[in-house]
Amino acid sequence: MKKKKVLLIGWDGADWKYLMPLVDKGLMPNLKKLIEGGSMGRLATLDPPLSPTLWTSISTGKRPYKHGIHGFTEPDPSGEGIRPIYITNRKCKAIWNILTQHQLKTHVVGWWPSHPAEPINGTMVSNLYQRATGGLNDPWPMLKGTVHPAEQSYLFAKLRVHPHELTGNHIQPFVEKAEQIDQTQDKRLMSIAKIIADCSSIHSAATYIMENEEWDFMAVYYDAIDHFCHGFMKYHPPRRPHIPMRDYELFHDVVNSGCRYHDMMLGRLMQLAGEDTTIILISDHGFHPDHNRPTTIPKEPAGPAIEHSPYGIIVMNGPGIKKDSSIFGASLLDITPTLLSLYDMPVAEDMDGKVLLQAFEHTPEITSIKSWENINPPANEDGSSASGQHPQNIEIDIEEARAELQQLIELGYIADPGENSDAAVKATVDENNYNLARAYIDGQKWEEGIEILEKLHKENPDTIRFSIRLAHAYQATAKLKDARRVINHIRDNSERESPQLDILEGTLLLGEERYKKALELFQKVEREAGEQANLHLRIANAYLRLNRLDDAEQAILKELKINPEEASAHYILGLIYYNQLRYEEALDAFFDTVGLLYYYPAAHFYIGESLYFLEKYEKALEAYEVCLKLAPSMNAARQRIISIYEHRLGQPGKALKYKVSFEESIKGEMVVVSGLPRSGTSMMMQMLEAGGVEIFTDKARTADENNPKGYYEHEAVKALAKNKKWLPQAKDKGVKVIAQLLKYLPMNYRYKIIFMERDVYEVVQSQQRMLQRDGKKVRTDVLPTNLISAYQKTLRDVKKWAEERPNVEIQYVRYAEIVEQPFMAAMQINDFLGGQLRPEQMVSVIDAKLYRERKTQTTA
Amino acid sequence: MKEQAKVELRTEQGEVFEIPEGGSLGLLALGYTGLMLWREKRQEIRQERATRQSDVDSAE
Repeated sequence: MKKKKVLLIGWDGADWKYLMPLVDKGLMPNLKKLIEGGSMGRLATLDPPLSPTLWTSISTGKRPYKHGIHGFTEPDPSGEGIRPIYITNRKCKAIWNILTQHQLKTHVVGWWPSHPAEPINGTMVSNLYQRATGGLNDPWPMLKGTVHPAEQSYLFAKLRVHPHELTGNHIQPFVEKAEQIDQTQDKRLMSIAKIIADCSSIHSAATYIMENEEWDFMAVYYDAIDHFCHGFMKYHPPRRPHIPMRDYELFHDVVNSGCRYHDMMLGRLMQLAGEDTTIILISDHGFHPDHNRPTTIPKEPAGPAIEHSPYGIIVMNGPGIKKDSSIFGASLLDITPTLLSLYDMPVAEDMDGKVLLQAFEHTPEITSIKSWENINPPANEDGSSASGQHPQNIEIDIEEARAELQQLIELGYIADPGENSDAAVKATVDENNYNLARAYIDGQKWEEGIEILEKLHKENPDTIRFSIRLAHAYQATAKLKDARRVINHIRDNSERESPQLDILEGTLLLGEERYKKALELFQKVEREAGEQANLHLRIANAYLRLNRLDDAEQAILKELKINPEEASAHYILGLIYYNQLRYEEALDAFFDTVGLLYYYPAAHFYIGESLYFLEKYEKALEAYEVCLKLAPSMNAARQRIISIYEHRLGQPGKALKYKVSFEESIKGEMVVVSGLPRSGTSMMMQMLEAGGVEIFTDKARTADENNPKGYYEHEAVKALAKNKKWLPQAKDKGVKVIAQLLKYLPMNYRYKIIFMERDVYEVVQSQQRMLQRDGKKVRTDVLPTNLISAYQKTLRDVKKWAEERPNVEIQYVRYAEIVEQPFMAAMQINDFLGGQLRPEQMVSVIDAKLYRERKTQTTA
Repeated sequence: MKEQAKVELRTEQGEVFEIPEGGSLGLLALGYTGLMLWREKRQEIRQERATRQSDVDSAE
């Protein structure tokens, strides 16, 4: 059987938005050939979108909090300042380590970070290989550890291209009128030369290896497209008003020319790889080439990342890969699992990505193991690691580290840390922690992210971006009071109004259910500050909450016109259609969402819901399964699966495992007393307390004429829709929750609900009397029929809700019967709650005189 | 580095490609082969130029 060969090519910053026009015009023929003979799609990036972090996630299949690379620099362990991020910071194996320990011939060129080069079963050339310093005739030493094996260093040094070696023949294809530029004043031509030289050095090293060495796996990383874009996308057509015409005329073709040069290099790589090699071309993020290009770059670490777009590219081509096909919902976390599958190796369960099965002509068999970190063959004869990783105690030369740091400063990756090494260390530690917090949040580990952000905010109260990120995290986890506190702090410390702050405030108002105020604020931003990122998305959200679905649809379509690749916008559109019962259209929108961003559990859930209501139960099951895989705690999906098997497909046996895992997810149990307001819930709470149930109450609402024996409420329960933090405190206790709020009870607790039933007309009368006693004006001559209808609907909704919930047992109790036959009622409740209560004590608290608004006949 | 046999570059039409002294993006795109061929050619041209100049200087 032919041995599998895979070539993995990284083009940092490549984006279909500016590549496809070139492909369509026939200006990138090699990329066109790769696409037509293979499968292509978008590749979703991660947050934070920083290259060393992203390319490590690509090579490990893991999120940053698992692999340990969080920024460009780190504190030097010697205690003397900072140093560039080293490959030794990586806490887990990369794909080349796994392949090395299987004795596959593995080569890696230019990966970021990859210094010092790891002793893999092949050649590794680190990311500090290509950087030129000095003039053409000055010494150009290669730092120790740049090449493995070290004895190849001299050879590879000769393969580098110095920018001063380049001539007009190399530059003119990028800048046609280059001779018009006074290079003593304008350094942009030299920066183009540096970028061309860098990627040509990488290409030279990679092609040497491919031509002269055996190989099973080859990975080569080019950062040039990203550098071309950061430097020159501002001049890319169409010209924007703030770009001087002369600059536009000189530099408008640089990005396109950079892409075409990469296509030429791609052609050579394809030629050397041959027809039997699987080629995977990817980028770690995209780059805005259009109206989404920012006009200014924030002056903060990694500020230029604002120019990145959230989707990079993926093309797969080779034996067994579908031709002229599309890949949906791919993430850069999926690359290593897919590579492992190509080599018939198991995927690790501790990896965060999935195999891109849709790219294969025949679905491969996927096997899995817990972790590749547990699979460690014996060391090699020379004592080196079988996986080609560095030893834990590798020594890094301090002087060399300083030289490398200087290179990073000169190249603009980091700011000069200055003389104050303590300040530099603190800034680096803070920045890396900030990036780690963002990575946690991107992976839905909110508490871990918030813990770090809270510390950063406390120690750096003037660093607004830490505060804004913290406010967002609080808002997303319904900690609205905390979010409000942080936003107020930001406003107090900001010198001027900021549309971004208004948008943040508006988002908080949405969370606080002050939808009208939120909408007003968003509309104010639209009037005063014009187009802002995701503004129409938020306006649509506000309209959706206000149930103004047509307005919501208009707003979200506006957002999609500006940002057709915004996954949340497609999701919101789906919700709008779903709420309008337009399930087919909702399905399309939700599929668009996961096609862009597969890791969107809520979208998969609503695909399931839409299919459920279209009565396509088998397909719905698949969608709920995906939702559970991505978000195992989403019991709503589990509950639906159970319901489909039991009530729709008549296969209760298949529901069993879901019921088991449902039970396992249950955190506790509580007794809930519910009903419409004034239906006897306070009386029932008293009965339970007397019978021996501990009550969850803060006694904030004291007894009064309307309820002489007290309300037995807790303030926290009133905010149940947005805040569920109080639930652990109510475990094993009795808690009062009015009927309208029952639907917000989360799925991870079990509820024994005592639902008080009282004639709806009696309820309304009692409420009117209560309002009168409180001094409010109430019309008693007119029957509030709307209110009565609403209450009757609430009662029907509660019955339906309770029937569908496997974690709910409900006992309906008539208020009139409690008063008329108290002991019978008490026994019934005692039986329902397990028989441990004291019924005689329960009946002692019932006062028939308090049954004031009594109807002589009960009606429905 | 391994000894390379003399490599001749040809265009798609089959004509021999004359490597210019100033190089080209196409040569760099070929990778180390194009880079080495360019450097050899550049060296060759410069040596020839130096020899001619030396002859002229001698004649004067």
